[in-house]
Amino acid sequence: MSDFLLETKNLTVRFGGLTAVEGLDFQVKKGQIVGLIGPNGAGKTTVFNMITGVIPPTEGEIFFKGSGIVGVRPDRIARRGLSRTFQNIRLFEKISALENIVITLQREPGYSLVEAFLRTKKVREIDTEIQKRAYDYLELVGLREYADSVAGSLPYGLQRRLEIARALATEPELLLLDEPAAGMNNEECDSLIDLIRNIHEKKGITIVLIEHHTDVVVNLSDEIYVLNLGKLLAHGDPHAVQTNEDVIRAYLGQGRKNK
Amino acid sequence: MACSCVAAHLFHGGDFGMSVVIQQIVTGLSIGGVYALLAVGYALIYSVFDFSNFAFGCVMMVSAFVAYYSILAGCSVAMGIALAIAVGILFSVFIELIAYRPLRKKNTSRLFLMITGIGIDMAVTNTAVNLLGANYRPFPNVSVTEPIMMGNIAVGKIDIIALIVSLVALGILWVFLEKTKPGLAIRASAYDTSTAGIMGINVNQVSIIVFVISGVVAAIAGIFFGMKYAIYPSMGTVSTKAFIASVIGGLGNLEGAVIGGIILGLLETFVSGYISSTYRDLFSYGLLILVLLFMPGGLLAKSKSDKL
Amino acid sequence: MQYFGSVLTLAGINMIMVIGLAVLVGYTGLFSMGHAGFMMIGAYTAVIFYKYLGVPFAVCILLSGVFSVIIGLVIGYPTMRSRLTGDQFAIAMMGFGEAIRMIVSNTEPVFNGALGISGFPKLTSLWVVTLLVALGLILMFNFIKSAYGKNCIAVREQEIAAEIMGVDIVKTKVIALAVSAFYVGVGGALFAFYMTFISPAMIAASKSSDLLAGVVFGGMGSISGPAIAGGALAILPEILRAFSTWRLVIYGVLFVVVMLFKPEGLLGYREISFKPVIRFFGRLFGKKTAAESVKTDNRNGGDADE
Repeated sequence: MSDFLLETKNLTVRFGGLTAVEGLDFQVKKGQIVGLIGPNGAGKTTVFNMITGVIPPTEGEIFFKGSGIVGVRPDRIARRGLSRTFQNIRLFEKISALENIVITLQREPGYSLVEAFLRTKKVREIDTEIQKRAYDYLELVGLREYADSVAGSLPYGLQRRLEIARALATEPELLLLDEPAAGMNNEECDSLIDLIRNIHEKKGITIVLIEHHTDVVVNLSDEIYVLNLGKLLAHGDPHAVQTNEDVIRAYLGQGRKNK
Repeated sequence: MACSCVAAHLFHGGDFGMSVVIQQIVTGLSIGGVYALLAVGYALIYSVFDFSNFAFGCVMMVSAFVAYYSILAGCSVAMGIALAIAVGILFSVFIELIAYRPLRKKNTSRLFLMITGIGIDMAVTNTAVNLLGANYRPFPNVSVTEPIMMGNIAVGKIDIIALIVSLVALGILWVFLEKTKPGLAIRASAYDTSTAGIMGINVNQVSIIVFVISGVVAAIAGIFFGMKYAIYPSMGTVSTKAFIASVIGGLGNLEGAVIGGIILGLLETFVSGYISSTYRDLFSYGLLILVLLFMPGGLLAKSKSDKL
Repeated sequence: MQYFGSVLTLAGINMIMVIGLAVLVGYTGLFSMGHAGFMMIGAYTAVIFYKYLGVPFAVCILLSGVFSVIIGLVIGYPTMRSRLTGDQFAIAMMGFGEAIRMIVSNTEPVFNGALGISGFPKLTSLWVVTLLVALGLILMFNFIKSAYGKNCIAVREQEIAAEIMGVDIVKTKVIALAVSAFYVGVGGALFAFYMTFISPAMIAASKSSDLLAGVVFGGMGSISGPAIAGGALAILPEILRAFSTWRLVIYGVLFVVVMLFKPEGLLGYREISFKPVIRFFGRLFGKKTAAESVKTDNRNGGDADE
């Protein structure tokens, strides 16, 4: 039993001949905000995919709250208290923002199929309560007024916020945010930083953050891991990482190709 | 299924000696070869675009009818077959251009692509039923049913031809995919369509080539099926076997499709010979369920890429 | 008048089956061309229990649904569990539909092979069907509004995200298949007891296409749309003979057109307001209620709560 909330040991995955992530040891303590950065193609999202159970690692182990989660189904991992957002937003596009949250809150129905068909009093009560809670989550990310808007039609920045709200609705202990600031301007970034800090402090949720906006990562993270070509390049507090020569080189070398 | 009754004629039971076993293996391989061809035509599209082309069967049927009517109209058999292949190509590409491509551009779900494919199949098959009648027609001017004696083993001429042609066609396709530039482009697209686009591969060109190949194999399979059994509007349902063979072999895997097709051909022949031709297809579906139960990825699963 | 009644009865039976399939195809996004198989199972189950075992009609109807569900689980669970693509499921369902037809057509004892079974009374009346359509609709609306129904939507919309949010994908899909099997099975039983005679040829593979047409035209992600379309599509061939011959061609072409230009179908992801459906149920076939369609009111969670 370790004192880490999340820990990977020798995490490795290969697709065909390509090694996307190699021998990664990654640790997150409860209550931290950890940044995961690196040039495009460094394997950051792949790490998230393995942690959430979508892609099985070729080698290595992943421990969440002290128990191994390699081979556990994604929905079971989620129910243990791990949630995430997606780099290329994956909302339930064609339904309302509110319904997006409602679905997530109701992922475990809490009543039987027969009760569902009969729509018993219990079902109706749970429904009403869930609706209320769903509004609270929208409120938290500042989307209450968009409750009835179709999720896919919201502006990009708001979709990212809705994804965060949806992830929070699973009541996670650990939240993985995959480029939450992508496509946002400075002002939006600032309010996102506030939001993430707010979530972290008020809800006591541990956060791992993949982000290209240096401001956002440096501002928020207690600790930063730098990946390059699937391998751990550096790790430490934001200041140490920023002045690390390997990191500077990796980013400069990639700089021109980066958008 | 309609074809089962015809297949039953080939096996009269009684003598279950070694020669009969060999004869059945040859028949099974020839049916398997045709299934393998169909399965490859289906798997190729699946591997590149990740959707099931359920309009595949009607291309096969239309091609077979083209051969049938052109030979009846006085064309030579070779000419009829050539015309059938040409129409198979045109029709297959036509479906891609008017239906699938516009849908893929809109990034629709694969469910919509499946419904579109079924829609095309329904429209074409039932038009043929209404205009041409649902009855069975023997393939004209070709007598391929008489057996060839090899020692004391009698093997259907059609089986030998089908087996050879399938093998040759599969061989050519393999060389094309492995050794040529467009083949490489197809394999790259199969690995990851979006990345292939970035790598400068023209996905639209790849799609045309893939649908051309699929049209050719559908036509060849249709002709053999017509020669061995009969030509009729609903003969396209045989493509279900191609789907099953593909799932058995591993959806989207070409080698798997060939292996799956051959396994299915052998299984059906032996079931027809030793158990009952009536329940032949039932064993195919049973095998499908068993594979899904115990080897959900199929015999050779397509390697998953990081497509999140 | 009697003719009118019989057309309406058939329309009602079709409605029950189409809304069943709508849960699977429209709500959950799974494709099936094999649901004629469930219709067959339902029809034969009811007839066999009634004729050979003397079970009361009402119980037979229920049993036909239950049997369809059981067989649906046998076929569906392995494909769902494998968590691969919807394509495998679609192919397995095609095989399933064929297999059921083949088994029934070739089994002489009990099923009486291709000749089928006759010699049982006409117990499916317009009133029975009307009652069951109403009941079926109410229960179905309750289902889709429930957490179970919402999970179906999540799977359709974004399977990977749904799973990572903790939705049990396998269970959700299996439930959707079971619900659709139940409805289609019951429809098959009603059909048999309407015709007073049942044979494999009466439930051809094209029946699966007919059911699918109801869902596609009525709207993917709607129950009321498919209900209306299901009723209308059962009536049209009765009044237009030429339509009956060419209907599958027309459906096929329309499938392509709808997918290209309006994939969400007639009503799309909306429901007709629930109350008028009940209130004006008798007039539902008139389709006038479609004009009153309202957007689902998310804030109140619909109006059936009161």
